[in-house]
Amino acid sequence: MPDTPGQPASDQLLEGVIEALRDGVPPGNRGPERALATLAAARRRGVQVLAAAAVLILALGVATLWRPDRSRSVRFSLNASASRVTLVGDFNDWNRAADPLRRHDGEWSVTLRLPPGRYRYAFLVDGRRWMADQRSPATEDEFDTPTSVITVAN
Amino acid sequence: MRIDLRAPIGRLWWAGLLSLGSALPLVAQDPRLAARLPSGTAIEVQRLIDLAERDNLPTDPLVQKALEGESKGADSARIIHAIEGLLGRLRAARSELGPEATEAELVAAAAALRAGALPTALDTLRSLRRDKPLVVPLSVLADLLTVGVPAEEAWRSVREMASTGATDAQFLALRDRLASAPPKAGASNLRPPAPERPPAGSPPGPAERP
Repeated sequence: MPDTPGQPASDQLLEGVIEALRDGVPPGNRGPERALATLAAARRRGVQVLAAAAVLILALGVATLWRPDRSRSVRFSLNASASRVTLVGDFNDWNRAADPLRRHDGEWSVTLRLPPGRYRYAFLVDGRRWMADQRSPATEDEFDTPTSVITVAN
Repeated sequence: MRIDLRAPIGRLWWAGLLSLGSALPLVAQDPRLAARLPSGTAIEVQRLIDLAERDNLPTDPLVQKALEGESKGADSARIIHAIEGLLGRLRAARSELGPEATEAELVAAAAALRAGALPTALDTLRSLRRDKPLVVPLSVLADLLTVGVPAEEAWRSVREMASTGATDAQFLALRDRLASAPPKAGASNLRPPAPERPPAGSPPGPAERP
């Protein structure tokens, strides 16, 4: 680039750069393409590393939190003359309305899934009368009402 | 940061901290208790639950006992008394079964203690079934004692089964067999539950007779 008298050196340099850009990259100069390819590869590697880390974290979380479901279906039933029966016990916060029994052929019943353990419970008949389950062992009761107990095996 | 208590701002700081501290127990209260128990009862129950938590004991059985009392219409004093008793038995169970015992094992052990088993029986069962769950053997022992099977017979049967590596199903079958057998002469089938603390001079429990 010829030196133009009366023009500051910085302007001359800038014009030179603009001209070079206008002319394009000379043939054989693969520098910019290589730089772009390197950037793309790095980005792909980053995504791969992130994906691997996510899978690892997920696997660790599942391994830590996963517990085999050892719950068993337990059928509770009662033969009683009643218009409404509910099952109330340790497994439903002693909630009088949580597990109503259904009547079928004169028998009231409900089936719950319970994990292994020992549970105290009773039937509440017509919302006012507590009844023990005659099919299960009776247990002590600090509140003076009939109470049964069921043991769910492992 | 230094707080000058003489300054009004310093007093405000302390007042704020104290109010926060007094509010914390309310924030940590189990919502089931607050929803179903009178506030005074809920606070007292929560205090016992906090004690249980501090001692690495399961708290849900205590919550269930409180909710059971509420559902059955018991008054506050009775609910608190029942929870205190259960807390004591859970402590004894933890002491005998060790820190690895599960919540279900502690609940079953507490029931066995309530029914009249001695704490040492728990330790014996633990050593006989070192790598197996104790829920069913302990629960069966509790059931047998509750229905009035003589303590010696109940303990001997459970201990023998435990020493032979019996399955849970075998334990439950043992319970059904013994519990349905007619009571022997002199053995009451309506044995009342064991008192919270056996009176002095009371007969030895099952674990004292190897």
